[in-house]
Amino acid sequence: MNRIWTIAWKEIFLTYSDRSFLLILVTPLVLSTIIGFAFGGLSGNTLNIGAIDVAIVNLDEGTTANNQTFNYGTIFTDIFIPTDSAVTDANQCVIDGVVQPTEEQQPLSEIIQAVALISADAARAGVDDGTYQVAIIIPPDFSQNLAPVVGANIDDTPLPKTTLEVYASSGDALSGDIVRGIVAGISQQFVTGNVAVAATLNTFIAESQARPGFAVRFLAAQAAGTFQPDFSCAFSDALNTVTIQNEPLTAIQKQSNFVQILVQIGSAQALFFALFTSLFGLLSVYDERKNGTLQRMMVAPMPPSYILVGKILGNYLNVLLQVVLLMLGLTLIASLVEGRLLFIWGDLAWVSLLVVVISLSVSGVGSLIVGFARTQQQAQVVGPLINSGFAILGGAFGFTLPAIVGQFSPIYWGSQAFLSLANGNTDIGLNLLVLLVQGGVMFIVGSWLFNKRSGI
Amino acid sequence: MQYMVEASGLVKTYKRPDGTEIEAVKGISLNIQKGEIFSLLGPNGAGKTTTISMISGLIKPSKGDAKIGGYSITKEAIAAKRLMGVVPQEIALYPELSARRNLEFFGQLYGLNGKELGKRVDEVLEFIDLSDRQKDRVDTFSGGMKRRVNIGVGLLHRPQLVYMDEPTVGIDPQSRRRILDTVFKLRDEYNMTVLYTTHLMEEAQELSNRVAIIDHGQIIALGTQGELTQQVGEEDRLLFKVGTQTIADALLKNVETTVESVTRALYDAPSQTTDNGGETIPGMITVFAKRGRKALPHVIRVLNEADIEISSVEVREPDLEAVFLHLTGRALRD
Ligand SMILES: Nc1ncnc2c1ncn2[C@@H]1O[C@H](COP(=O)(O)OP(=O)(O)OP(=O)(O)O)[C@@H](O)[C@H]1O
Ligand SMILES: [Mg+2]
Repeated sequence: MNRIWTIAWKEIFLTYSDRSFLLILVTPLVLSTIIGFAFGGLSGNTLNIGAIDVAIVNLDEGTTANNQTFNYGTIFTDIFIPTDSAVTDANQCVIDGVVQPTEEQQPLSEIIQAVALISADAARAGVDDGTYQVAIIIPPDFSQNLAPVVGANIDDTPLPKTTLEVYASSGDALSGDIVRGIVAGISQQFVTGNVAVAATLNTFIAESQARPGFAVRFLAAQAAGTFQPDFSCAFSDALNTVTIQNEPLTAIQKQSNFVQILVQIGSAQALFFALFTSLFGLLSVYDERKNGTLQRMMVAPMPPSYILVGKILGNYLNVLLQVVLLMLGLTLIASLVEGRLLFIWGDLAWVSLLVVVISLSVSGVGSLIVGFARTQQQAQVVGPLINSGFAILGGAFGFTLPAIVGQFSPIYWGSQAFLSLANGNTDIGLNLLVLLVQGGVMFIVGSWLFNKRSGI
Repeated sequence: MQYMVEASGLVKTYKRPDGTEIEAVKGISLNIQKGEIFSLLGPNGAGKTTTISMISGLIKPSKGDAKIGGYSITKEAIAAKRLMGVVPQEIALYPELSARRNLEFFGQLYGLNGKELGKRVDEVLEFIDLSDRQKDRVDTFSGGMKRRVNIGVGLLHRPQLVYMDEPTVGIDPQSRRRILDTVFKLRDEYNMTVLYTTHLMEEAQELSNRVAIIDHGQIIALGTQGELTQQVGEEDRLLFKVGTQTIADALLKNVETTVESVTRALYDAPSQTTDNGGETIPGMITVFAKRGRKALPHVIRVLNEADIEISSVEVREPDLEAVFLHLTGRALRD
């Protein structure tokens, strides 16, 4: 077993000691970025998010502590449904209205059209029947659960959990994400005690658009009871102000669209180039035979199958590593463009699973080509054509073909799944299944043919 | 005593792309004793590499089998392979990896790991005198240095038996000297058994305890040098370099019949070598004579009378070259 790893590791090591590998890492990143800008960045408002219809139900009964009355539910609601007159009760955290948008800016109301409702059931029903896209339900004990923090040492006190419900229709994942992101952003502001200082819409929107995964984690943290906001801001006697600064909608769209395209094109490009890594990695068996290193392995005291398994395993890991590196590269690019660190791929566990499965497909294609080709030259000519075909079918170059033909390409299923995950939609079971079957068959048939071809 | 290698009836038939068959090895049997240097001496295409490939388990014999330290190479391949180190004819290394990495990789395939591996690699680097260049990529090495790494890889696991397939091909005399010394060291200091193939008579002569002369896939003579040279009798050889002139058979006959003590006269036409940038090997007349020095002036006289220009003359005592010539009627040089 050790020797299999030795051979597999050698495959990887050889790939990376080859200088041309830098090129296969850099090229897809550059291409994806260019395509991302061309389709998502420079063409203005291509992504159309209309105002999202939101129903807010504030069931919060408020609480009293330190002789002050708090109702965080109201604070929350006021952010979404601004009242013209500022709330002036000196004993409350004050929301000082909404900064009037300049000409370039658009108010929150253009992104979120919020309505206050009284009944949670009615709100959910409204979402279900399509009247609203998202419902936010603030529970009766929302403030109360947060009040015991007052005066206590925050580090010592176990904080009670709060449950903010964001109810979104499953057919409208993006809207749900945006609202979740905004809610998460506000909560985050509460948590860090900065609600009075910098609860900017910028943060909220960016949070949701750039890190769809954040919303997922936020909900997960809620479920696990680890979401423990500290509303310490509210206990200052000073007049608190929540300033909401609006970003022009087009700028937001630009970012979001760029990231979306980067995810879709970038993942397809990563897979496209990984196909080459797989192809040329396996083709190296011909060179190894020519320069005698294969024979050298064959006279070592071990079953010949080790060489084969080691090569194939190495090839798989090589593909996996390259995809991961490219995804990290794309993350870096997105972060640079957006000006802060952001993970663009959605839920980590799901995306890891996807990478593991898609690498099987990619590696399978390589072994199938090398196995089928009668000579090295044949594989060198036919292989790139097949790889490019898969890439075109899979939409790696910024245009898509009808799904009927696209479905033949693992890249199609892969980049689709990547895009879903990036948008917080983990409903990629079908993609995984198809990839697993497609990949598994190619991998097994390919390995079998490759075995015969290599003459090990 | 138990032999290190016992090969019996090895045959290898290759299929050509056009469907015809070529018998590269036509039934080779040989025993190699523990601790000896055994040479396979034969011209290009004689079947040396094919034979080594079969007894190292790289290719399956079409017929026959070989035992390595008692283990059948076809049926107990792994046990047999554990005993042997193989130094292939070509430089079988990863050019883009350093010398050290190459050694480490192949060492691991022989089951070496961790500290032990590091120690063996250090030892081998020392042995092949490349410790100072170990971090450099192999493709930056000179031909001789690559050859040394190529040998080193075969020694990592301290095998009892080492196969060296023409390890001195294409290198300068100094590097060659070094490698020949290495072979002696393997036998004398490390008690290894060495199977050495070459097409150079001088190498086989200098190195071997025993020699097998192989031609067209068959062993045509096998024994110590003494035993082999006895086969040609006590005849000396007179070598005349004669440039590009054509030599008539009648002239050779004339030498054989008129000069006393001459038994045979042969002629090798000039030829072009493929290696060393294609230099021309001049034509050569070889005359066998029981008392070479005495016959020499008479042979020269006959050649002079025929107007043959002689560019050099050499008298050789019986050697392996003579044996080959005697058995095949051809010179060993190609
Ligand atoms: N894979 C093969 N397919 C067909 N013929 C082969 C193959 N390998 C070797 N031969 C033939 O077998 C014969 C013996 O080859 P081999 O390589 O064993 O000779 P050798 O003695 O090692 O020669 P050299 O001194 O040139 O290395 C040659 O005629 C060669 O053409
Ligand atoms: Mg050979």
